[in-house]
Order: sequence, then structure tokens, then C-alpha cells
Amino acid sequence: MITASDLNAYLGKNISDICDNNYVQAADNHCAHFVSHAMSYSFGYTCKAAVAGATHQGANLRVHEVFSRCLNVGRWADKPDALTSCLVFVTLASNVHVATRTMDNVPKKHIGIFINGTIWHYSNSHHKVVTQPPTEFIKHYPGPGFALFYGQLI
Amino acid sequence: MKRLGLMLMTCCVVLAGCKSAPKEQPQNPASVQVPEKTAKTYAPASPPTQKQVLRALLQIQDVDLAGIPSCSGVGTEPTDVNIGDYISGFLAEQGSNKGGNSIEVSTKEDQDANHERAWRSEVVIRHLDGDDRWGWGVSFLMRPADHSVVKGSIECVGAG
Repeated sequence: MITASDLNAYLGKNISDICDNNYVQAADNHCAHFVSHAMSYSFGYTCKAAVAGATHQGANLRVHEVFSRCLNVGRWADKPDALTSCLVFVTLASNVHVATRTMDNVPKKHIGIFINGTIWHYSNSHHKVVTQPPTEFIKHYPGPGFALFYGQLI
Repeated sequence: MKRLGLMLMTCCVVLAGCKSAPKEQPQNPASVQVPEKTAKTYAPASPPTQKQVLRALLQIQDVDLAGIPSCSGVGTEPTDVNIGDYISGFLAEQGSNKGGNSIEVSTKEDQDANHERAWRSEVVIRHLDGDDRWGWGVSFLMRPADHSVVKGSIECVGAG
């Protein structure tokens, strides 16, 4: 089980310090990429698959693929109190289908790792791993309709 | 009588003025000159142009997403089934004038599964607006001889 201490070791790091497969272009979105390296999620479409000749273990690159692999998902308000460590997602509520555990591959979706009130996530605008409380994380995208969802760690 | 003659003359003048332009003589269809289309030519040693890569992408719009592991589920809507649906979804996201939009087209030399020389081309639709940052697209091999897309070489690229 990953700990806050493990995640603090990533704080302030750029994706180039995290990914040995050199999938590090600043114009790409690295939120799922960071989470998958931290959690060793090597299923689905990975940085290893995306980079020709990459040899290191791959990490998944896509938020919706991680979401559908979670053991249990739901709206943040429905998160069981006992679930103190989980994945957290922010996107338009209309893009999430909890019953089928699927998320549409819309551009505006983001993921982080939640432990005891703090979220570690990769800020694509600041190009580094940062922490935020859920009350700030939900403001990741401006505009109405965005909501938080939880996903039980895989 | 004089009046009738004047009226008849007026009608003749009017009719003459309204006379239609001389009709073109019907032609034998076989003799109609159709401008010849210039046949497309390809320089196998040169990489495809950006336009040729985009044309190839349009040609594969009917390819099913479900049959390609990297493309499964990449559509922006659950009803998206093929490359055309997928690309249309992300192009539509560029409708807003907020932030920066671009279409990145690249090509490099590669080989197909039979070790034949081919061009690995990639089209990525990008958006950049603070944390709203993404790039989704398609990568595929093109044959140097005619720029046709190699079956089985199609991959959907993108993260986030």
C-alpha cells in the first residue's frame, strides 16, 4: 500500500525525473502517467508502448483506463469513510457512468492519489507533482458541472 | 386596320427582342473535352507531405476502434466506433477559441511487419490552456510507393 511518505518523495518532481521511458513531452498530459508510475499500473496504453524502443516498465497514460480498472467507484460524497486511501478523479459529472464503471475519454479529466485528506497529483501547467486538498482539486477546471469521483485502489 | 398592323409590328419587335440566344448545337458526348486529371505521383524516397499524411488519415476513418488495443475506448462518446468518430470528437473540442490549438503532423522512416521500408506518420490534435492540456491522435505506417496505409499498423496515441 502506498503511503504519504512514498508520495512526498515525488513532490516537486518533473515527469522527466519519474519516467525512465522518456515519455516526457511538456505538451502532453501526465496526470495518469504520474499516478500509474507511483502505483505501478502497467496495464492498457503505457509510456512503454508510446515510445519506440522503450525498455523500462510502462505506466498507464489514460485516466479513463485507470478509472475502469478501479475495484469500486462512486461520487466523492458517497466515498465510504473507511476509504482513507484511494484515487480521485475530477471531470464533468456527465462523463462518468458509475453503474458501468466507465468514464468517457473527454479531454477535461484529471486524476490524483488521495491519502488522509491530501491529494498528490501532477500539475501539467506547473510541470511537477503537487499536493492539494479536495476543496482545491475540484477547481482544477473552471466552469460548472465538474465533480469529484473516487476509485478504490487497484 | 392600321391599328392592327401597328400592334402586329410591335409584337414582332418585342418577339425579336426576346429571341433567345442561339442554342448550342448538341454535341456527341464522345467529343466533349474533359480536362484530364493529373495522376498522383509519389516519390518513394521522400517522406509524405503533411497534406498527404492528413489525406491518409481521412482514408482510414472507417477503421473500427474496437479491433485495436490502443484505440479501444478512446472516443469522446460511448457511441464512437471508428477512427472518424474519434478524430471528430477531438477536433470538435478545438471549437473554442480559448487557449492554443494545433494539429501536429510528423513522419519518420520505419519498417512494416515484413521489414519493408515504410513511413511512420502521426497526426496529433493538441490543445493547450493551462491545466487543460492534451494531445490525441493516430499513428500509422504509409507505403512509400503509393502512400497507402499499412493494415495493422494503426495506433491511437494520446494521454490524460
